[in-house]
Formats: sequence, structure tokens, C-alpha cells
Amino acid sequence: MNARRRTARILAFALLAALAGPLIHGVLQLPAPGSADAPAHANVTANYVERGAESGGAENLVTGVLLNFRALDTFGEVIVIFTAWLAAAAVAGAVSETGRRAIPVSPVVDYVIRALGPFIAAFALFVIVNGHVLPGGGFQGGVVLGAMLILLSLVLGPAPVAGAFSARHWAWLRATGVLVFAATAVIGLALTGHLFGLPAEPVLRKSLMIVLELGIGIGGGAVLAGLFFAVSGVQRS
Amino acid sequence: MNILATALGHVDYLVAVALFLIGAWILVTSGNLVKKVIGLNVMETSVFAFIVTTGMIDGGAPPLVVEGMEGPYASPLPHALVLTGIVVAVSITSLALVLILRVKSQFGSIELDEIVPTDEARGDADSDAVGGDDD
Amino acid sequence: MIDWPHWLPLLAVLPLVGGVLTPLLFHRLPNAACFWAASIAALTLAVAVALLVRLLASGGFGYAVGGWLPQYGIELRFDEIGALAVAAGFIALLSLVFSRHYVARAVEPDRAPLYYALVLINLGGLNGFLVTGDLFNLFVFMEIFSVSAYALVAMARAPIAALAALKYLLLGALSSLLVLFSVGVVFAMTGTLNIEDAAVLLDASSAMPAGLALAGLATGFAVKAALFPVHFWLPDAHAAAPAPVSAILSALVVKAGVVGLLRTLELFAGGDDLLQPLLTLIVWLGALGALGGALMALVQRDIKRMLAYSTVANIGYIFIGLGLATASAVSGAMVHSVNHAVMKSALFLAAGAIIHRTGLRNIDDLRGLGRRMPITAFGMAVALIALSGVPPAAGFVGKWQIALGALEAGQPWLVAVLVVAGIVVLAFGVRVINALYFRPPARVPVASAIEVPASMWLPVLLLAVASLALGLAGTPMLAFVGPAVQSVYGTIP
Repeated sequence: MNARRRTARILAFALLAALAGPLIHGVLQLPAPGSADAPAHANVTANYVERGAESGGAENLVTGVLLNFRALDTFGEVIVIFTAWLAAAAVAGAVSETGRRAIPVSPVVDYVIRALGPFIAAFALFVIVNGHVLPGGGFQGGVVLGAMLILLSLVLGPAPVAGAFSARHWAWLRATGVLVFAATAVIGLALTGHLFGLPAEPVLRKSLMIVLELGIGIGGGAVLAGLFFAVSGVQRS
Repeated sequence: MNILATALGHVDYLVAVALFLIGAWILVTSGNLVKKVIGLNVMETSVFAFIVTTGMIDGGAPPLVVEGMEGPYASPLPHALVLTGIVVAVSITSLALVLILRVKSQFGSIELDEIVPTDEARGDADSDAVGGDDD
Repeated sequence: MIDWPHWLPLLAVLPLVGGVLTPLLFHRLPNAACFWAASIAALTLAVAVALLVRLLASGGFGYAVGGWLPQYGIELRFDEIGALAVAAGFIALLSLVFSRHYVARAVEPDRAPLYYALVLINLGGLNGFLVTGDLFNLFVFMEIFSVSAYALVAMARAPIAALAALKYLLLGALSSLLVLFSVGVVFAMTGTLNIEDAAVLLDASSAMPAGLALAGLATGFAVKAALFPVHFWLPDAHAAAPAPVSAILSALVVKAGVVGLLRTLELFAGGDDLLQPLLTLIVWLGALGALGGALMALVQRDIKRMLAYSTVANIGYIFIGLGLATASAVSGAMVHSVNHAVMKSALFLAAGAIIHRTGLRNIDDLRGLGRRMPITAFGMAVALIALSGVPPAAGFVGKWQIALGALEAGQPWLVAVLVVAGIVVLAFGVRVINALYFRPPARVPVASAIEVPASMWLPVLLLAVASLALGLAGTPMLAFVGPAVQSVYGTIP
């Protein structure tokens, strides 16, 4: 370690030590975590807990918040993850040959992963469509789906997995979340008079929510796989 | 004694602060770009832990209003926020890694000490096609 | 039609969806993608203008997304600060038009549709950031325009671009994290995320955690705005990016940091003893940034780096105005944010046109270019003169108001800072104009250069004319931002 590096470390330590004081002092004065009378449980939360299941349309209140009360945040989130793929595809350079080859794995691992694939996909689907009653939902299921695609890419090599669809079709798959969300927002406008609104009629609302979750899940999984493909250089745009 | 009790009551927040500082330390002092990204991820995790903790309730149930789940429920709002935050963090991390790959292929290293930007590197490569008509 | 309430969410949703559709519909069709992106930006601009008309007619208004009450859902608000969306739409549209020929050369043709998509998403993120009334939604939109901005910087071909973008990304992500942490603190203290709601509830709360949240938000937004001393990511990123991207970043994206700070002040409007130290600090840092940025600009040889440092200086002026917290200084800072956006985008686009045609970016190499590329050089000269603050051009109004505010606040030394920085800005302006018009050509590309196509010189010319016109519109603009000053700072002298 040269002298410059050491000075930088000492400076950084001093800075962080100076930062630690106010941070600790500050969080100690916050309402204690876990106490039921903290403001975090009073205003908005109390309303969600009391009426959220009916007005939000999901027994899983988190899903209700995500898809209904704070739909614009979730729409933004879907945009961010699509942008991540756009960015990776726009920036990724040519990668050496090694990135494109399958990593040699033992036949046992290979067999197990191929055999597990369909089960992982089924689990992803389960997580997605039960997002309104159980922990889970579009993003969580999408991550499982993406993990399956990446796992298969590791074993088979990214090229065959990426080749399952043409580059254009992959792009449409990745945009599913955004497009379904935008379509739902417009349907909401037609039915409730508010952009991103969901109709109060329970069956219709629930079906719309499941469609939304499916869109988010498929889009999320395809984006995750796309990020992996972009890094391994098989698919750029 | 009183301070100790307060600290004990806020131990979840203190752990988040500790993680935050550890992440910041890695981010600031490490010269390796991948380690910097790891430091950033540790910091992100600490903030997520902090936000989820604000919605926690002692002895509470997850916010699932179904048979067999009795209140008090944890606040669903921080969960939704953190889910969004995680997606954002994934996006940032993936872009950072792609950029690091490009830095590696251009400068041959991901150690900041070994990367020496030359004047040539600063030049706008638009100049590789000079003049000519556009239409 | 102008009263249609749903224009407000569309301001963000339209460019976002348009951006996502770009690579799907125009795969490998760069020209069509450019046309599409420019059309979407034009529509967005029209929406912003419609909202502005309504604002002028009947004052600020809100929109409940999904029909929920403000606290339970997300509330959008259109106020005088959100009206910056008009400038955003205008500058993004002109940058997109400019990009058609520029990007054909600066970016691989396969990736050009991705470029246009990222610009539109950046615009959507900015617009959403400007009009949201919810703290967490602010963070989400901030991440949308940040992620797209990192990628746009990295799309330039110069090898330094990836490193500059990475530096920008690490700093940007850190600042976003500070903002997110502060949002968490505010939620823990108040249990709400709506800015207006939280402002009321924070008022009565204990000082220390509120101070933590204030410090986190202010630091985070100061990094985004490139306030000295957390500006060091800016020169590399803005100089390395493709020129139309530099224009958008310098004109709009750093201003989002300024708007973020204004929203923070709104949130803490009740806590005077918390705000006062912050405002004093901002004045000092702004003064240092104004002087340091101007001096650094003067010693640059690269024209885009010079312009980037000039942005640091102008952000310094704006923060001096915000920190002084008198009516004239704050309104001056707000007006200067818009005027600087117009002038700086004219300059970056003009520099881009020159680089596009000659491949030269060293100021001394541009000698004699005034005769070869008359319109571009004229646009650049006009914008440089406007920037230096010669009355009655656009740079003058804001600086004059900020100087007035400094006198009102009893800090005459700030006037000296403004004058010195103004002279330095004039000096580098004169240096460029001298090279363009009064020196014989020294480089071969200059001697054989011809004017760029109309799609490139027209945006430069329009923005240059706007930098003159905005100077004449100084009084109505100052009157227009008056209510915003009131709502951010409460009743100030």
C-alpha cells in the first residue's frame, strides 16, 4: 500500500467516523422499531390494514399497495428494470469467446438442472398468480423465472437459450410488463375515470391484477435473462 | 443505563447504520471497481433493512389478511417501497457491471490505480469520421 | 381539451411508454426511431404547454393517481416549479432533432434506436420528478432519469466514456441512496410519504432525526445538481457524453437536483432553526462553486470541458440564490435555472455541430471557423454572450436578481463574487469568439468545413434566439415564479 492510498484511507476513516456520530444519534431518537404506536403504523398504514384488503383488492396488502394504491411507483419500477436492459444492451461491448461458451459442468449437475427447469418454471408461475393472497407476486416470480433462464444458460451456454426467440421477440417479451401496465392504466381510466385506477368490481379487479402480475413477471424474467445475455455478449440489441 | 436501554430498543436501526458505514468504507477505500459495486450493494441492503424495520411490529403478523393470520399486522408500505428499491438496485448493479466490463476491455484493468486515462482516450471518437455529407 | 385533468400523469407516462416502444417498433431503423422520438417529445411538449396554460389561468392543481386520496395513493401536482417541464420538453425535442445526423456517426447504427429510447425515458423520468407530490415517487422518477443518463453518457465511443459513466453512476447511486434513507427516516417519523402531509407532521417532531433526513436529502440532491465540492463527476461525464446528451444533462438533469432541493425545503418549511445552517452553507458552497467553476472553465482547452465547468459555476449562482432566501434572490435563482438550461443547451449543441463537422474540440483549433460554419458559430457566440450576463440577454436577469438579493440580505461580498465570476465567464466567452471570428484558420478540417445540415443548425439557432428572448421576458418570468417562492420559503421578506 503506497503512501497516497494510506492517506486516503485515513481520511475516509475520519469522514466515516464523523458520519457515524450523527447517524447513530439520529436513529436512536426515532420511534423504537416494533412499537405499535409508532407514527409509521398510524396514518396511512392504519388505513391500509383496516380497509386495504377490500379497497385494494388483495388479501396480501403489499400487493394491494403495489398494484393499486401506489401503482405509479410500480409502473416506474417496471420502467427502471426495462431501462436497465436498454442500458446494458446499448453499452455492452464485444465480449471474448469465453463468455459465449457453456461452462463445462459435471453430467450430474447438467442433468439435475435440465430436469429441474420445468419445476422452477412452474414454481415461478405459482408465485406470480398467487401474489394477491400469498407472499410473492410479479417481481418475485419474474426473478425465479430469470434465475431459471440464467441457470440453463450456464449449463447449455447462453446461445441456445437466447436463440429460443429472435432478438425482436425477446425485446417484446421484456417490454411485457410496461405494455401490460400501460394498457391497464388506460382500462382503469375508462372504467374508473382515473389513470392507473382499478375497477371496484371484485372479479374484474382480481383478473386485471393477475394479468398485471403475469406481465410484470414475464417482463422481469426476460429482462434478467437479457442482462445476462448482454454481459455474455450473445445478444446486444 | 437509559442510553443502553434505548440502544437495545433500537438495535435493528444500529445494525443498519453499521452496515451502511461498512458499505461506505468499501465503496470509498477500495480501488477495485467490482469491490466498489459490492460496497454500494452493502449500503443499499442496509437502507432496505432500515426501511423494512420501520414497518415492523413486535409480535405482529405479515400483512396478509387471510384465515389464520391475526393482527396486528406489519405495515405493508415499507415492504412495497423496498421491493421497488431492490428492483432499482438490481438495475444499477447490472449497468455498473456492464460498464466495468467495458472499462476492462479498454484499459485492461479494473483497478483504479492502474487505469491511466490518456489524452487520446479523452478525445471524442466522433472524429474517426470527419467531414463528408450527411444527406 | 386543455382542462382535461389526465394530461398531468401523461406528461410522464407518454414519453416513458413512447421510449419503451422505440426499440420494439424501430429495430434497426435509426431514422424512423428519431422521427418517432421527436414526435413523442413534441407531443409531450404540447401536453406541458397545455398544463402551463391551465396553471396560468387558474393556479396550481393536482391529480390523484388511481383516484385515491393523496396520502393513500400518489398525488401529482403541477406548480410553477413543475412548469420547468415546458423547458424540458423544448430542449429534449431540439436535442432529438439535432441527434439525427449526430448520432448516425457517434453511435453504432444498430444501437441508435436504443439511444432514442433512453432519451425519451430520461425525459419521462424528469417530467415525473418535476410534478410528483410524493417522496418515494420522487425517488422512483429520479432513478428513471438517472439510470438512463448513466447509459447515455456511456454510449459515446470515446474510451473514456465508460469510465466517466461509471464514476457518474457510483456517485449518483450513492446520492440516490442518501435520498432513499432520508425518505425512510421521514416515513418512520410521520407515517406518510405525501410531501404536503409530511411537511405538516414533521413540524411538530423532534429535531435530530429530522435534521438527519434534511442532511441526507440536501446532500443527495446537491450531488445530483453538482454543487461544489460534490461536482467532480460532472466535467468528465458531461464532456464525454454525445453532444445532445451533454445538452440534456447540463440543461435539465442537474436542474433536477435543484428542484429536489426546493422540494426538500418545502418539506421542512416549518423547521426554521434546522434550515438556517443549511441555507448559510449553501450560499458559501455556491460562491466557491461559482468562482472555482468559472476559473476552471477558463483554463480548459477542450470546449466541452469548458462548458461543463461553466455548468458548475452556474449551479453555484443558483445555489447562492436559493441559500440567500430573499424573494428576489430565490426568484432569480429559479429564473436562472430555466435560462441557463436554454443557453447551455445551445452551447453544447453548437459544440456538437462543430465536433461533428471538424472532429476538433480544442478551442485553439477552432480558429477561423466563423466564416466556414456561420450559423453554428453565430449561435455559439450569441449564447456565450448571453451566458456572461450582458444585459438584456438571458444570463443577466437571474444574476441581477441574485445580486439584489445579496444586498438585501446584507451580504455585499457576494456581489463581488458574482461580478468576478461574471468577468471570468465573459473572458472565456471572448476567447472562444475571438478564435471563431478574428483568427485565421490553423487546421485543415476548418479550412474545408462547411455548415452542418439544417436539422443541426436550426436547434442551435432556435436556442440562441431563445437565450436573447428570455432576457426580454425577465419581468413576467420573475412574476410567474413568485407563488413558488412563497410556497417553498413561506412568507419571506
